This record gives sequence, C-alpha cells and structure tokens, in this order.
Amino acid sequence: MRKTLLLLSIVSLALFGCGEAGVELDVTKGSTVTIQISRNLVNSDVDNFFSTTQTVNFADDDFEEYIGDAESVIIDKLTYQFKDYNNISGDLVLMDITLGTGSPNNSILDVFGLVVENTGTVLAYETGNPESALSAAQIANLESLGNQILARQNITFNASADFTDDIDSDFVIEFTFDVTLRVTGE
Amino acid sequence: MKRFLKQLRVLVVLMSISTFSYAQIDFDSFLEAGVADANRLLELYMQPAFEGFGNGMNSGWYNTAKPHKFLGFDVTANVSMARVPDASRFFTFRNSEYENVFFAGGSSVETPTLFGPNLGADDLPQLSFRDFDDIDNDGDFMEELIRISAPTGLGIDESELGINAVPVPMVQLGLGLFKGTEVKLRYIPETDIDGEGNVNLFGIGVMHDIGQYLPGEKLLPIDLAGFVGYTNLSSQIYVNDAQTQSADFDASSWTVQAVASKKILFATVFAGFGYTNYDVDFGLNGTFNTESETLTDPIAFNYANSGMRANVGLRLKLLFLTLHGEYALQEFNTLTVGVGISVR
Repeated sequence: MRKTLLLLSIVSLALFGCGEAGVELDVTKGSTVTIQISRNLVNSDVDNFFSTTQTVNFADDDFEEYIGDAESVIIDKLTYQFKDYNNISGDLVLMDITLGTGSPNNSILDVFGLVVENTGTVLAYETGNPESALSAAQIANLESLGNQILARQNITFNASADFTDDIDSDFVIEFTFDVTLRVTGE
Repeated sequence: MKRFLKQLRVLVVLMSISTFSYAQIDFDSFLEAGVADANRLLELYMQPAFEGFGNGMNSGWYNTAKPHKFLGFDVTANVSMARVPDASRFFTFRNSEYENVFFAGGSSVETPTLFGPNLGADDLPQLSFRDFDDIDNDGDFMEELIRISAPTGLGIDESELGINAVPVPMVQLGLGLFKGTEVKLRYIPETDIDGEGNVNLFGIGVMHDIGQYLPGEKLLPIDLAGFVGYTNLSSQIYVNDAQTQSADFDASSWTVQAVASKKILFATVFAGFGYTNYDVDFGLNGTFNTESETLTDPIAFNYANSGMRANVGLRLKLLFLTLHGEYALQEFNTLTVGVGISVR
C-alpha cells in the first residue's frame, strides 16, 4: 500500500490549486537501511572488522506515489538501533560504526566505543536539535542525500563495524532516515 | 483574473454540480485510510461547503411581496453567496474520533476546512497514518506508517473574490395565476455534463397575497404575502471511466416566509421572515478496491439543519428589466444578487 491514504490531503492536491499559494503539503516517512552483522564474518576477521554496502532507492521504494510532484526533499532526522543481539557469554564487546555513501565515501555517521547490545532507537541527528552527533560536513552530506532522492537516484550506503573482540551472535543495525517530501500543486 | 475564474469555476462546480470529477480526486487512495476515518474526515472538511449550499438554496425566491397579475411572469437569474462563518474555517481533528489516523502532537488539532485559509505545509499540522494492514509484517499494527500534512483550505477570502462564501446560482420562472397567487418554478431537466455525469434541479414555490384578507387592505401602505418554496438539486458525477463509480449529491431545502414590500417609483424594498430547512446528502457509490478489501458504496454523509431566516432587499425595475439584491440573516448569512425580466 505504497498508494497511501492521504485522505484529505489528496483533496487539496486534487482541487488543483485554488488558493493564491497553490497547494503545498509535506509527506514524511521513515526510510530504513538495515545492515545484517554476521557473527561468522566478524569473528573470522583477524581485526574483527565488518563492512558491507547496500544500494537503496528511497524515492521508488517509499515515495513512489509522491516523488513526481515533489519540489524538495529534506532529511529531518537520523536514528539507529541495534536489534537481535544475543550476548550468550556476557562479555563486554565494544564497537565503532561508520556509515557513508558513494565512492569515494562521504561520511554521514561515525560512532565510537558503543557497547554491543540491543538498544532502543538512538537519535543521531535531528534538524534544529543541538544534541546532534553529526559534524557539519556530515550534515551537509546528509542533506545532499535529499537531492539524490529527489532525482530518484540509487544511493549506495557503506557501513562498517569495528569490534574489540569476537561477538556472540548475528545482529541487525537499522539506520532510519526521516525523509520529508515537500509536494506542491498548481 | 485567470485564477479568480478558475476559483469560481471550481466553486460553482463544487457545489452545484459536484467537484468530484473535476477535482480528480483519487478516491481509492482515500479509502485506504479505512471507511470510517475517510467518512469522518471528509464530512468535517466539506461541512461548510455543503451547509453553505443548503443555506444558499433557500435564497433568491422573491424580490417583492406583490404577486404577478394573471399570466404576468418573470424570469430571474440569481447568484447567492452564503458566507462561511469564521468558526467554520477550521475543524477540530480529534484523535478519539479516528481509528487509523492520528495527530502525534496531542489529542486534537485545529485544521482548515475546505473553506479555510490556504496554508503552506509549514503551517499545517501533520496527520499520521497507522500501519493497520501491517505492510511490513512485523506484527505492529499501531506504528506510524507515514505522516502527511492535513488538507488545506481554498483560501477564498484571500483571493480576488474577497468573500469566503459558497456560491449558489439559480434560474427561476414566476407566473401569476389568480386571486393574488403566483407560482415559481426552478427546473433543469436531467442534463448530461460532458459525459462525466448529470444534474437535475426542481423547485416550486407559491406566493400568495395575504394583504387581501386584511380589513382595510386598500389602506395598507405595504404589500404582504406568504411564501412557501421547495428546491431539490441532484447530481451524479462519474468517478471512473467505466462509469461504475460515482459521487452522488442530493440537496433539498424548503422555506416558509412572510414577506412584505413597499414600492416607491421604480424601487421596491422588501423584507421577509420565516423558517428554513435543508437536507444535503453526499455519497460515493459503486465498488472500490483498496489493497486490502473491496468496498461498496463506502462514503455517505448527511448535513441537515433548520432555523429562522430574515432578509431584506431592494429591487429596481426599469421597464421590464429588474435588478435586485438581498441580504439574509441565517445560519450562513447570504447575499443574493440577480437580474430578470418581469412582465405584469
């Protein structure tokens, strides 16, 4: 049901812009990049290092219905979450994670010294929130993703995780981008 | 001017014929939110439009209290503008009234109706839709799937039109009979609208001179009449090319009025007081397929109200040509202007 339920928002669009300002609305959705961390791959690496790439198309996957009418795309928020880790040994393992896009890599997020454990949703960046964990350069890279989404381009994410020791199980890192499309109608 | 004409076209179509074809509304998408939520949101969003139309239908019936003489007649065209009250520019979206849609910032929020201001996305609240079909198969039916700006209004009062009102055009014939009685007819036979639907109108009114029953009638400085009128407008607009889905609009109204007028040279001042009623039904009929179910006749709501109405107006008669205007105090105060030809 990508063809989502805009209920009356659609009315507004459909009335083909009767007001002086036309019609303008925002469509916001969380688009998620899911990284599967493999215990076997991590533990078989002498440095306990794991990396992977993943190519996504947020425009076509999450905003197919609206992207054609979008005037701009903004990423308002970035969060991450660790899921499905089973700490059988009880050992404390730390990790550094990085997330970037493209080649050469444009860094979006670096987080160091995290305990490997299941977490709730952790805020990495939010527009206007001073608690952001992103540098100015990383925020600029994040903002450029909006243009790529608007252009319906594939985005290749480069993710890596560097562990201090072996890990006990596979687990998942979910990076969620709050993507807002500004849709306009005449 | 071009925008004004576009607005006028939209409004006229919206109310008198129905917007729903011209508006190119994607009803299937509407219904993805669930029938109950779609009904509630549409009902509140459209409320001033339908109520304004109901008020406007009861206007423009008369411009004098003096019925035509036998076989005297008039043909009159009116446009009534039912002014949308400020309180109807917004409606309150309450989370408790919806199953699948909610406002995340609180338990309720004010959001524009169709006749509200035309707000930009930064000024509109966002409504969140739950993943009630569990699209991601995670067993969580309550999580937020998407957030979308609440619908904005047309912003009519910000436009060249300058008045936030529902326009109701009307054409009618008045014919004098006998004993101070005049019958008025409003009629459009079922008429095809460019293959996209149809519309028909019927209205009948009777005005009767009651001054003739009063002692000393000849001494009365004014004309007095009683008036009863009924109007019904129905339209059907096809939503799909196969014409198996339609937006159906049926509005009826009636009014009972005491009317007084005083003619001075070519000017007639008139006033009325009485009771009015309207009943407007809107339905989306046919079979609609959402991604999860098939729905039959999914949207239906009704607006009805009644109350007192008082109006005052002025008619100018230049030979056979009449120009008139009136202002009515009622639920939606209504300004009517018109032109006509009147004989006897």
